[in-house]
Amino acid sequence: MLTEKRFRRLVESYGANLQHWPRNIRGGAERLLDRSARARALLEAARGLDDVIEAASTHEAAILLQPQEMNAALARLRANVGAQIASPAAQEAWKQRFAPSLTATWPIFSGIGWIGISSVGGLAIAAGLLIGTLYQPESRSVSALAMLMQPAPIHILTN
Amino acid sequence: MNANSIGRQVSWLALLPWAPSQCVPMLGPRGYAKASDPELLAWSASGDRRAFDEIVVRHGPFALRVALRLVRDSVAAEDMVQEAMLRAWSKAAQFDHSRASFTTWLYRIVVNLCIDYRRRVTPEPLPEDFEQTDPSANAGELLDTGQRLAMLASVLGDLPARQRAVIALVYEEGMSGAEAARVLGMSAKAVERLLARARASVRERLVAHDLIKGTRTC
Repeated sequence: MLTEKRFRRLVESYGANLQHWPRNIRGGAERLLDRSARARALLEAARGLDDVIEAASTHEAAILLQPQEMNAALARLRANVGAQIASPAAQEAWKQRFAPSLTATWPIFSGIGWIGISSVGGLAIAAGLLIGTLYQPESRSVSALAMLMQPAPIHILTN
Repeated sequence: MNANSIGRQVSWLALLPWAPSQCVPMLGPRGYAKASDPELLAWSASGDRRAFDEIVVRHGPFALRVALRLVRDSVAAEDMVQEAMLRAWSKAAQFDHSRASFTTWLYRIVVNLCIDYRRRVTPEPLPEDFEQTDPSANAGELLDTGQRLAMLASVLGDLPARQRAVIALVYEEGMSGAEAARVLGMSAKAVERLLARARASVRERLVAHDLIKGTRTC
């Protein structure tokens, strides 16, 4: 159960707007307000300061947080952040972040990088060409084309 | 699985000659707008700059609002938020979602940068629209509502950095005390005490400038 002492502390912190209060305490605060006139008076007394803070905040927002200015600021933020993370220095730092783990996993790439990949690819191509030249298909005595060009035999009836 | 392990799974892309972000089309289209923060962060950790741009779009406005209220200088505020975003990018692979939400983590960076900035530099002059008034003047001499509001805003802005931060997070951005505590790196009880001190500071200054009556209120 929420005590008046605890209620006062919460009012001093969060003010009169129960929506600012911790969610799990609001129910207890409402029940206390139902039965305690002193609690209601405390809450009402806090509203004055709440209203002043809200007025100050609204005025500040009207100056500092104009929608057009905010949109422009967000556009600048996106552009600047995008440029920074795309910079060559940022790219190199990103690669360095992952390269150590890769070289540890695959030592063959250690210090070789692209040269290693290119060498492996070149060897694969060379091996394919070599196999192709070494293997010769069996030659036929009569080519299929020659057979097709042969005229069909003419059968002459002989009686 | 955290952003680090997901990032390692596609880290072999780092060996390819083109920039990491250009590898994204090879992986197919991604639903950036509908992706969760952990997904965006994991993609960012693998070098997806488009994913990180979505993070900037999604969280930039909140970060800018808080920074502007804390430092009250648009150039400095944008610098703080930009620095926070760059730190988030560089540490995306190390972020562990099981320990904190991304928003808590990002907003903590923003708030801490702003608090450090306020402690380092002399307060900047108010923008011209703030209608500067003599802080020693009494409200009774201020006939213009706009001048009164300007003084109220000035009282708020002159609060100590952490008090101003907790007011911004809880009252102006609607965070719960628990959420504000996580952003500020404090316990919930400490945030309650900080809020109470902030309200007491505002009340004292308002009474000093005769903007409210001097009776004890919460």
